[in-house]
Amino acid sequence: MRKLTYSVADQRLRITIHAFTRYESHRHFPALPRAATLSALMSNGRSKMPASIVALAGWLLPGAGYLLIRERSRGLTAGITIIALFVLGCFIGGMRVIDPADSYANLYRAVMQKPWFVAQVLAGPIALVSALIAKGPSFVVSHARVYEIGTLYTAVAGMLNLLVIIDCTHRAWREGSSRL
Amino acid sequence: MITLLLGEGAYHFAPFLKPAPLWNYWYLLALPLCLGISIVYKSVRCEHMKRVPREAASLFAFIIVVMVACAAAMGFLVRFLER
Repeated sequence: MRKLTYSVADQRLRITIHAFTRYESHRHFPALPRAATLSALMSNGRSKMPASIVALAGWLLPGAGYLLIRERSRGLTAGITIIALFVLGCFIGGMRVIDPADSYANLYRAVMQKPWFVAQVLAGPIALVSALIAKGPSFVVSHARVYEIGTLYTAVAGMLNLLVIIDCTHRAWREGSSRL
Repeated sequence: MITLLLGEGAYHFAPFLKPAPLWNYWYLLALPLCLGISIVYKSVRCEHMKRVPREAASLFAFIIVVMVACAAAMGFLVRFLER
């Protein structure tokens, strides 16, 4: 146990803090399982987050799933790269590369009509918002290579986000099951 | 700005409204895509993030080399079949 003493400027008040290591907290307070669990959680720097929440967050904002399980640098790297690819795709081919089907009453027919949109929507609500915005009259449909490459960029961004969602969900599930 | 740089004077480019005037340089657009794929893939695969830049750079170079080799092989095959 380490004893840390802090003194204020006028020397009339002295504050003493007892800082325990993780092992010492278990030894001195064996009847406090919640405190011990919290200590263990804080000591390895990870949070116990349901895998479904992590997956949903990963879809809502690329990389957010990693942030929820305290994988900050991994989440920022993957998230920024995926969003950059998506935005770059819209820049190259125009926003009309996000092209949903006319009607989703018949889902199979809609998917067969616009298969790329399935991959694009995996990038998250950014794809849905882009599809809504691109319906405006001022947006021009591109053709040939530029359209293909723009579609490819946005679809690859969505599929990479699916990869990231699967990985962060698996990590969250693994961390959750290891503590049971 | 991009229009001026690329010399596409007749085309009035509006970002996100119209496609970018990159049709003469479409093959270069594979580079940022491959780089993005490399970074995200290695971010997922590597256990320690310190290794990601190096591994992503090597994967990026590998993808480009293999793509160029495949393109060259296909080009030679087409020329051979055209004879």
